Amino acid sequence: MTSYFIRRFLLIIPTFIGVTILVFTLTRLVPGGPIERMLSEAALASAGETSTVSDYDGRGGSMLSDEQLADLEAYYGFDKPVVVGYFEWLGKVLVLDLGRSTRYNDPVWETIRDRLPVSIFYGVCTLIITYGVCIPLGIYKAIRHKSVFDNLTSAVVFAGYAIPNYVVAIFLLTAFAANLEWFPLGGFVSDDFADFTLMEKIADLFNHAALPLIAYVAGSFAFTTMLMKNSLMDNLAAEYVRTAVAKGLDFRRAIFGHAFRNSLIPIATSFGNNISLIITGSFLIEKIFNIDGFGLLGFESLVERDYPVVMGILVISALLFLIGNILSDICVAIVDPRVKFGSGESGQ
Amino acid sequence: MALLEIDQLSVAFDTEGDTVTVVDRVGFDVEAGETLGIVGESGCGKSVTALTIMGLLPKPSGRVQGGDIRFRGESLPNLPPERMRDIRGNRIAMIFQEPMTALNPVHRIGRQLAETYALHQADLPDEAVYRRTLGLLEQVGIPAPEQRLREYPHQLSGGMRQRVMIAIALASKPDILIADEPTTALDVTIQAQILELLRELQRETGMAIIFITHDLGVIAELCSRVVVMYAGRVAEQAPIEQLFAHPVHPYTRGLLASIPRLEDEPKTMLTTIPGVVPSIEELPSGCRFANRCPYVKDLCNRDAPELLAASQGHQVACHRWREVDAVALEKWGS
Repeated sequence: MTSYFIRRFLLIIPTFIGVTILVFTLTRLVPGGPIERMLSEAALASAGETSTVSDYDGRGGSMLSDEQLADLEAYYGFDKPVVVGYFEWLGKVLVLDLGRSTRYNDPVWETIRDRLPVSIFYGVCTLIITYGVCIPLGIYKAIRHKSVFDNLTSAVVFAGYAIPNYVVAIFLLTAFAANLEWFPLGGFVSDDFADFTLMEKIADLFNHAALPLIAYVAGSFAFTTMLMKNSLMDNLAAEYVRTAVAKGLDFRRAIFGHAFRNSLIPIATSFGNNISLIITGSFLIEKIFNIDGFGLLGFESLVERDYPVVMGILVISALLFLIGNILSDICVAIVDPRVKFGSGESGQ
Repeated sequence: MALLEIDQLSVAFDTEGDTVTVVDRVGFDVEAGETLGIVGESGCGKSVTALTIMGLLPKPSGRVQGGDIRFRGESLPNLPPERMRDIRGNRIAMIFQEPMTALNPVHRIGRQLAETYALHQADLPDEAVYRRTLGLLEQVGIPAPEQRLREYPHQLSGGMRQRVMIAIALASKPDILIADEPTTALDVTIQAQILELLRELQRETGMAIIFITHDLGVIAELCSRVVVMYAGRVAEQAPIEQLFAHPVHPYTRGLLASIPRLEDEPKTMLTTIPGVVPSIEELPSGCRFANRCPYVKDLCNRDAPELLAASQGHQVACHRWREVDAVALEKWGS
């Protein structure tokens, strides 16, 4: 088992290299790549003069100086053969030198790092709320299958699932922030956050977070709740539960002592993916509530063609995704003893 | 008073807007220490009868419609759930058909064995529980029991798992063991081993066994008395020798005739009972075997036959068994 996970972690390396090759190829091949973009901007800026796009040696230069251009070319290794360029770039990525944002002119890693606490806060909160609600709700619905409560909650979670989260976000914002003024209109914390006491800080944080969190989780209940419910119902009908009851167990102990852990197996499978997806956030919700998170950063960089940031985010998301997959495997292995990775018999 | 009395038991299931009676006025007794076989084809109600005894009918669709089950004189269907849990798994234990799915895949064997003690002998110290579970595994013939206790069900073969199931059932030294087709899913050699084990355990513990199967050969090997069920009713009930030597119900005759024998002409067609069991939604009002019976008369289609004594300890539910018997005797005589 341990050897399996060591192997899995080692396998991140080739996968990650594959990802970087793709990302690097993008910068070389895609029209409108980082250099061209800057050049065309430079050209635009100098359009008043008689220069053409092909006539670009940066002399219009209000956006891009020769020096910046050279920097850029050097960073992406355009001044060197492809392979050499790639390895030099890879070396920089490994020490988190992801280049400079063309929009903010800050190092990309710092730009991303500044956004991380916001995204992690929302990610962790969403995760806790989703699982904290879905698992008990799924259990209760399974036990009370076809009851009024079951049907009603199904309607509610599916309604939440069917309505796009940005619609929920807009509705919440208009109703509770704009009209009723119960919550702030947006942002992660208040402007004078630094002056608050600890309790005030926490209150302020959650005051700001309430509406976006509702928008985040509204659609996420359906999947996990129904997965939990159906999987528990399957297991309650399983023969080993009948064996357990035949031993003299009462219904409650048969559920929590026997059926529950088995029905967590499919939930564990999706756990790691949720982690990586949630940290990357949703740019629409972040946009609506004006939260400076990962999602918004990615969206804006894409619109602004801030390629160093886009690539940085791609690389980091890919890494998170790889780690998320391994986390899923670990979760499954913890819950299900039948899963014996790597000892000849394959687990899944 | 018999240890367990099944008295005119009827069990019904609610289906979409309808109620079907799957077990209809079934009655038999189980004496302490005996092995009673219940035989019949799939869907004849033998498993439902067993589950009803255990109080394990699927809820809310299944329910006892009429009659009674008395264990040491106590009416089981009317017991409060807490009292029933004391009996279930403690005084009456059950093993199932599919050893592959009957054990919880995520718990170790030891834990699943010890659970019975935790439920019914809560004051037993952990050390004693461990020694007893170890003893149980030895008793059911599992090699290297210390190691097995730490293993998960998927690490055991089907036969081993069925032995574990038997060990779990034996844990509280029950008065009755209900075995619902315990060997059907196992291959023949393992089947023989398990039957031998059950016989041995019965000799040691003196428990009664209700053995449910569709396999007359298994019945012949193990049981002292047989109940033949057909389409939710008891067709015939007799001591084992009597049933095999002198069956009186046309269905039982058909069953016995359809067993292939070594002295049969090779490569001839097997004898079968023509027709199929009436489906549970459209059971006839008269005798349920009427549509397949070679001796059928108008009376059979009109009235359901009562279970009557044919001889000492031998009961049959057939209007015409005397005439059929006479015909058979004549044939044998010639």
